[in-house]
Amino acid sequence: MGILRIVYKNIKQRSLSSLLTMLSIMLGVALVTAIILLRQESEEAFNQTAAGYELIVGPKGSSLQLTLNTVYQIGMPIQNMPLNTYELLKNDKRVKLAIPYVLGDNFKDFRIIGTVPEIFTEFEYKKGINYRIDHGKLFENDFEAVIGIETSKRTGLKVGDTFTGSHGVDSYEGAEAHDEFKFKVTGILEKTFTAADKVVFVTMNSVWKIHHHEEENNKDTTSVLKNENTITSILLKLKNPVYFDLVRRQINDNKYEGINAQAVLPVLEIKQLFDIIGNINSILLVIAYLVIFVAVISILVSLYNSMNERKRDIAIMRSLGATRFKILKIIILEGALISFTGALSGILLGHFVIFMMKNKISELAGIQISGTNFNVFELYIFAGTVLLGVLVSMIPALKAYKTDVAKNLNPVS
Amino acid sequence: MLTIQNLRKTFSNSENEKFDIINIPFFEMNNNEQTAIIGESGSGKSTFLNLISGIVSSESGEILFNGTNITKLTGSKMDKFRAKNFGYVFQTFNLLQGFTALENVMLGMMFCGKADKNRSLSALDKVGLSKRINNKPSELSVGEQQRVAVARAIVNSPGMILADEPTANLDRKNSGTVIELIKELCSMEKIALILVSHESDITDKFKNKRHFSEINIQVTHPQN
Repeated sequence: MGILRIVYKNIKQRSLSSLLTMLSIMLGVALVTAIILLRQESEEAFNQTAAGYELIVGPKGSSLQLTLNTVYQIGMPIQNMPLNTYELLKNDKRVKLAIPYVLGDNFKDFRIIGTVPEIFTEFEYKKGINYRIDHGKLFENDFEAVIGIETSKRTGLKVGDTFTGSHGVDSYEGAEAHDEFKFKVTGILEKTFTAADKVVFVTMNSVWKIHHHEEENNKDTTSVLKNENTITSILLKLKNPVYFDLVRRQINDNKYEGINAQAVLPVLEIKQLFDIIGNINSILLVIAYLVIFVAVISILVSLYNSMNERKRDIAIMRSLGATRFKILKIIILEGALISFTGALSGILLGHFVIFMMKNKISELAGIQISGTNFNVFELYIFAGTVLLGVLVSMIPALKAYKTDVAKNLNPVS
Repeated sequence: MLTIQNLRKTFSNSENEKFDIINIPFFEMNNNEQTAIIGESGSGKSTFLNLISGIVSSESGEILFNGTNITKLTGSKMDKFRAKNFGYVFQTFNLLQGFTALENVMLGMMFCGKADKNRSLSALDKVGLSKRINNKPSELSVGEQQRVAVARAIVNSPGMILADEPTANLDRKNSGTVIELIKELCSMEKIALILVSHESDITDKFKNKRHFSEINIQVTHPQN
């Protein structure tokens, strides 16, 4: 039997108090871990997705809105711009790939995006990875659709099924259904953990046809798609990175063939977004640190309160030859073991919670989070919590150190 | 083996007046000797044992145990010396409630080196508790608890056992058994024994019996 056995027995003897203290530390550390993980992994996931989009060209307005709308399918599109913007860029010798997006309708909240087949054959949403068909085939004709895996799961659409879109990028009450135009699902994409999992890809012409039909019937007076064929945004890949700044500046300074548009770097936009989120994140972290601090203080309270009832046990151990230092060590080790267990289980709980939430996060934000990546910062949190546990345990340990052996040895002297 | 000379210990009352509780001009014991000391409650018998074991320190005088002056030992040196040389048997058994009988005995060893499980089992066997090793004190009778305390006291093979009113909480039958057990084990293991008690029928069981007032000359007036 060693000193750790004594420590374990002492903790077991006060199991409820020790367990509650450990649980409060565990929750505090789990909170910090979850916040750190979410921040780290979501930032990585957002950046990874944004990295697939070198440059986005869209109508003038909020650059963040253009990025969020095009890359993550979040929020409303700014406006539409003439098709010739796309044609000019596509034919630019410096441009390697130009993919147009036309938004306008949705199917049960899943956005219908008019685009070109090159999005499946040439566009790499992550380095070296194209969208791949899991079931069926790519669209070849108008009113054929390739849908994301989440769209399929949540709407029940399968290859061969037909559906009709509703007006607007998101569904709303009273939205007009385009019953005259039925889409047929020709393919379902493999899971990408990007916004593409939650969209419906169709030909641009399909979207234009629906909206021209509405305009001809004077049914839609508010549509942003007027008589001409317009597009919402363009994903651009350049042949050489040196063209980046030049093309961007030309477009943004209205010096590109007279087009009125903006060109944004999604990675830059996401960095700025996370700088803003980072401030909120810091506030959350401060709260979580306070939770840990209060939890660790409960070690002090719990151990200190137990000292009165443990005076006799300490005196017995001293009478058996335990040195004052050994008693000090036992009490400090108790605090250290409680904080160690609390911190370790907290880190594991934090990862477990994120791991269990990963599908929900993927559904909500369209990003892939694993919950299994460990951050060096977690090591600091772990070490800091244990160190704090040791430090606060010193106060009751000093009280134990000073225990008067003769006075506490016998209730009757 | 044990020689005490001019040992004094004072205590202060609530008016901060000092009183001698211990004033022993001379006391001596030989190896393997068993001595019973009788004295009234509050006469300083426990303090006398605590001075010998170094749990409390004296104001003056010396306690020589096997050539070591205990009064000169301080801090951890004293604690280690106590762990190695003295076994304690208390009136209230003083077992740790969260620990089993075996663990309580092993605890007696761990502060003076390695806790040896086999030796602890053997000690429990000697006191007749080999079948109760995994029971906690609350699951044992008072007689059994005191026998665990005896096993803990002898497990280190100390030079001396200090028994402080070891039968005060036991009935007549258990008292006799425990006293015989302590005497027998001390003889067998060649351990010296000082037993203090206020009960004459306990001290009468010893050949070498002394009254505490013969050893301790108490000074009752306040000290300046």
